[in-house]
Amino acid sequence: MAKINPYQPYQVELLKVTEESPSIKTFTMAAPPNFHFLAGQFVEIAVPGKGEAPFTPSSSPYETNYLEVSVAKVGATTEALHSLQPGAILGLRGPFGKDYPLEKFTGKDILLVGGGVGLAPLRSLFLSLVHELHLFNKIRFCCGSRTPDDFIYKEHVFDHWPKIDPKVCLRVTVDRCDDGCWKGPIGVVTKTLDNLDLEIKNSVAVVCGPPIMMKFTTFKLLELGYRPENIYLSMERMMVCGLGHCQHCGLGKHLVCKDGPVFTYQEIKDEPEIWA
Amino acid sequence: MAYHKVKTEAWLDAIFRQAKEKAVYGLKRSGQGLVYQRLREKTDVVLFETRPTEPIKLFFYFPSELTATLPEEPFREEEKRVLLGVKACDLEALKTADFVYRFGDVVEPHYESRRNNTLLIGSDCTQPNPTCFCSLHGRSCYPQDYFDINLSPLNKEVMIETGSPRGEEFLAELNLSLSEVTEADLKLRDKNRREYMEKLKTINTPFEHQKPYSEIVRKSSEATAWKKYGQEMCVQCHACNLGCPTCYCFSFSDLPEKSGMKRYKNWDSCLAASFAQMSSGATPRHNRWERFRYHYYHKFDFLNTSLGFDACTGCGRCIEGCLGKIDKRQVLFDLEKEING
Repeated sequence: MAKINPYQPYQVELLKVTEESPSIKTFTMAAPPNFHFLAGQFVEIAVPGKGEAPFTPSSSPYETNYLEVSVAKVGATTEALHSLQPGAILGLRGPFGKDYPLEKFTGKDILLVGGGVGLAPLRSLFLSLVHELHLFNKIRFCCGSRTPDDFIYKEHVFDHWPKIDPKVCLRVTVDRCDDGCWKGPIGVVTKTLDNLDLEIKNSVAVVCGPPIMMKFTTFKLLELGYRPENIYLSMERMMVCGLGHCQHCGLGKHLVCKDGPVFTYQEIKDEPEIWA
Repeated sequence: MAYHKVKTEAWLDAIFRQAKEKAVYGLKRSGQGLVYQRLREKTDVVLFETRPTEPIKLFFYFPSELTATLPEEPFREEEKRVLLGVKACDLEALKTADFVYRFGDVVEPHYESRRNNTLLIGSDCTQPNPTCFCSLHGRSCYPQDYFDINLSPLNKEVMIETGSPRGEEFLAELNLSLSEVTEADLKLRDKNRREYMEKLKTINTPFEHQKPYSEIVRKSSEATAWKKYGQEMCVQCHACNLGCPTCYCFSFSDLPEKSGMKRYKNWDSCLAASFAQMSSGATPRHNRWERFRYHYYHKFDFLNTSLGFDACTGCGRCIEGCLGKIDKRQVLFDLEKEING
């Protein structure tokens, strides 16, 4: 039998590049044969010869022909990715890690809280949830960004998603708006968590965003009565191999690539490095 | 599995005959220590003494190796080879690497191929170094398992212990006229081994500890010793990582090629500031002492939980190589003193 080299990427074609915000683009690429991921899992994307980095797909797992990742331009690999045009060839490995345990979400109210580019994994999760909407109770999606310009998936967040179903409700906020163009609430995303209209005891919360936002959102959720085992966090670490080999993504005794990236707060709350 | 003995000269002659047909590596003197060399023409080979300066991982995962390409190139199996004179500390180290690369959820095929194609001939460590501390882990300086064949010195003979069917086969290939091992031979071997362990005990008397290292490390998250050693003394030279036979962390380096790329897998060091740094620049271990502590956590806590033993074999290479003159034994000794108050 041919040996499988887990460090070997597939070659995939970049199909489309969508500018989401001044610093974030969504890259649509052809999915390799038999490629299938679940919301919350991550992939490693390589710009050949420039570097490889981990991203959680933002597209629906039910789309089997393509996948999308939304990428903020923050380092050498993402800068190289941002300079690419459709038709470019990328390397793809994965999917890796644990997904959101949707079977545990069945019959529950679901709260999603995302900030900035942290909306990316939540978009994939949201699309999975609405695909089988009958399985879940209410869905509340709270989205925040620094400024109105920084919002990603604008069309979806503002137009499409709020109209999906009466069970689904979106709350949006921005940290600040200097030119007065924003008519919605202003403030950090935790402010959207008051008066949630959810049965907290029968609810799970999923949080993804910058570390500081995750920290304060988690504390707010605890205050609201969410139990640590019902708060799901998508942890960011430097996942290099994705397989539990390289050790870069250590979070205390956990490896984010294998044991995560989705953790309950209960699983990692005692790790001193949790909010780094 | 079975014991035999043979004249040392006959053993060496047989090994050199093998070396004409396949890659055989043995130990030779170099500077103050020993290094592996590929055996070709008959030369001086050190069968026993101590562990070499270089860690055994050099044979199984390289400081830098081509690991993938775009477009993809077919996988090639590694050549067959024999390592002669592997010490217990290095055999023990392979248990950690095997756990990660061979027995994890996903197999690293290059590593596995090298492991499968390497015959391990261990040998008793008769002259421990001043930095050796396998005994402080409750380990022995003579191999007890994980070898295909092990050698113990018996005056002008060697005692051969086979440890695997592959070892038996290799021994048969050598076509030696083997003698049976007597009760007296076993007694002599055991007496010798007690003497080597006595030497180790003398070397390590100042560092003797009461609690297992794993317990000491788990209880000392707030100890001041981390800052003393990790911040004031550690110069972040990474010698402890590079020389360690169990350290296996790596990074990828992708280099452009005309029509794709070459991906190199390079050893990395958890002491490096960039090790856990994310693209945003944030890192969970900003301070050097935090990274220093993590190095201990990983070996004595996290991996101990998974493996059931420390991912440190007491080979002492980290002590020998440290530019900051940090002695791991002293760090662990001080930690225990602190937690005992």
